[in-house]
Amino acid sequence: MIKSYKLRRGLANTFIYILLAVLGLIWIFPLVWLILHSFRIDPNGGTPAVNVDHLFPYLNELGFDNYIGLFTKTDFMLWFKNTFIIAVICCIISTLSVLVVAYAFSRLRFKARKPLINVGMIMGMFPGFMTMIALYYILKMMSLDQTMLGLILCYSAGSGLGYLVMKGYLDTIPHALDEAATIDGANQFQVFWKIILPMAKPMVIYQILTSFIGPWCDFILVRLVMMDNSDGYTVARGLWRWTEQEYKTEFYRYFLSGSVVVSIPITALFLYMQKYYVEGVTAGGVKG
Amino acid sequence: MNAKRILALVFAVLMVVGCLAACDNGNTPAGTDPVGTQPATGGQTTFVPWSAEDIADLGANIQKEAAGNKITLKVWQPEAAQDVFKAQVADFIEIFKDYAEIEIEVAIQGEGDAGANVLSDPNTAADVFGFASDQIMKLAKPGAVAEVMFPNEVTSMNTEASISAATYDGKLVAYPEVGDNSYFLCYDKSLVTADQAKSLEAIFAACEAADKRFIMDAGNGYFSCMYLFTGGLATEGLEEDGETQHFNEYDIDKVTASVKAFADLFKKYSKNFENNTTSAVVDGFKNGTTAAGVIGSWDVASAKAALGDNAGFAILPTINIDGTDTQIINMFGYKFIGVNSQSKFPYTSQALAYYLSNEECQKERAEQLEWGPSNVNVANSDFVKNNESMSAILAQSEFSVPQTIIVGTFWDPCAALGGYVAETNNDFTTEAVKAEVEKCINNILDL
Repeated sequence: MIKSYKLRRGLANTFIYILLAVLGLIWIFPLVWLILHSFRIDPNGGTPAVNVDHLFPYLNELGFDNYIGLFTKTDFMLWFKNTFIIAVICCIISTLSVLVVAYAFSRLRFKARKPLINVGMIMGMFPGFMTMIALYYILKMMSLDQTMLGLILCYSAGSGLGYLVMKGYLDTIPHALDEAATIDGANQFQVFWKIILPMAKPMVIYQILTSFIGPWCDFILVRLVMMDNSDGYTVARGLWRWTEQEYKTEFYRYFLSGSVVVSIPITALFLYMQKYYVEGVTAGGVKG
Repeated sequence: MNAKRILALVFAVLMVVGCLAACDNGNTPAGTDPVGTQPATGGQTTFVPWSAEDIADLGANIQKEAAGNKITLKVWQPEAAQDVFKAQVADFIEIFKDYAEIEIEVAIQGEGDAGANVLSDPNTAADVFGFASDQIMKLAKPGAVAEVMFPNEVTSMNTEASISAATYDGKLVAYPEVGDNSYFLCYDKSLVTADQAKSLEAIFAACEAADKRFIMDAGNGYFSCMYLFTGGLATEGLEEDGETQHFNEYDIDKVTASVKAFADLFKKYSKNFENNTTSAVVDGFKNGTTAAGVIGSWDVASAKAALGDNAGFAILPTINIDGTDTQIINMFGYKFIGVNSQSKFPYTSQALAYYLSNEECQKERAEQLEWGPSNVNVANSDFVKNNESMSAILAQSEFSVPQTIIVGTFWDPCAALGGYVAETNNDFTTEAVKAEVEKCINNILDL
């Protein structure tokens, strides 16, 4: 038994830090592998091997061919553009509808308020893809299958149901502010637009982030809605195509570089808005 | 109150726009490139597989089907073959341009998933699509593919084996497109001689001498069924219940001996044997660690690129089973062109599938894509005979079990058996191997 408290603490900390470092390495390793191998090329100018026996590429195997090829030889740019358009539009629609729904539930008092809140909560519990067969047939009836508009509808139509965190945050803003504004002659819209919205900025940003990321990561709905229309694919669906048997050998390298490129806009957005994001998440949890 | 009105107006406009957009025809999304609007590829003469009378005959039917409207069709083919097929459908449009206005879109769809995607929604699926022969039962049983309208002509043009593989329940349900969807031997000529490539023992001996590897996908059911087939087992359609695999009359001891021969050989040369995918074989050629391997017909181009002049192709070698050199039997698949039974223009679709499976189109694909032909004339042509890989794989078809009407329960038990054989630490006594073989067959039969 070690007597010295200092030594004991030092030993314990060393052990904990080593453990955490190992866990951290394990966690980060796939990412490091992905980035390094996205730069791996065949020094002789051909297609690099799919099966590699070395963990890290050799120095003479590094180059930008996979990235150049990604933008010049594949449909990646088109898919990237599609995803960006869809993400931006969905982002606007979902953020607006979440705000409006949350404001109504938080500030207005009407008869159906409680039942609507309950229904909304229960509906929000079900995963979106549960209704995908129904969605598909409905879109087809409206001739919206295989179109980007159909996809945007799928992503943003039900987003108002995600009001819960936003409502929690709005509840923390004192009612006295609304009342003061009302006394000064503001109507509901002005209260919402001029008083509540500026104060809810962290949550709005949180909402923008989550709804922007949705279309970048979703794969199930694009596959369902777009079917064989590869001109309408988003990056997730497009990259998945390259893992099919037919493409594997040739497009494996573009899959790697494509994955890195996809993460860039999301990472950039996160870095830029990270401060607000953390504020938003913690603030929303104060009172629910 | 003004702001409220504006907001209401904005939402109203949004809804109207949404409704209007919904009226837009979603089936022709922006950006697709229908070939029908382009002229036939310049300089190339359009090949016509039919006589003038036949064309008049077919054309009259197409005209009747069009009834004055434009015929729009969709074709599914893999990405690598897009250009070839676009040119071929343009020729088809050219032939019948006097009878009807036809527009054909060629969309990207790999053959492996084509069947599943046709079944999931036949309405949006292609009218004419390429698919691999293992899907024939899945497609023909629910009637997702239409029966071939020109059975006599198609039967006379293509190899007997490909026709029998395209037949379900006594009816020809697809047009043969490719006659070589299978796997065979590829070796590095600088390390393995053509003579050595005739027997698996000699190949392993050459690998050992050169300290190189022999790679095959030994734990994959598609490849590992060769251990059973070499021992005399073969699939022969279904039992009367329409669900259970029917086997020929096999001798379990012979099958066991065959499986044991493979297992013993892999164990003996465990240092030189590697159980890995066909793309690992190509990679092995690329970095010089592999002397020979089993590759698929789809790997030929990359294998040729990796080995250059040293690329050698041959049918699968023999293996010594209890003192007799026995030819390895494999599973041999085909690719077909199917016609969607829910096509809005069934007759034109059939004519198009017929056109795409004809001699000239198959020849073009053999030359430009290295797709082995199922057409008898093309298979016997000088071009194919002088092409080492194509003639090797077509020769393999004589030592094979056709990959058609294979039940879904076939693959996993075969893969399990393959994994057992490829695990060189196992102790392969005759009893143990026999038990594994029996287990595998029982699992296939779902007993």
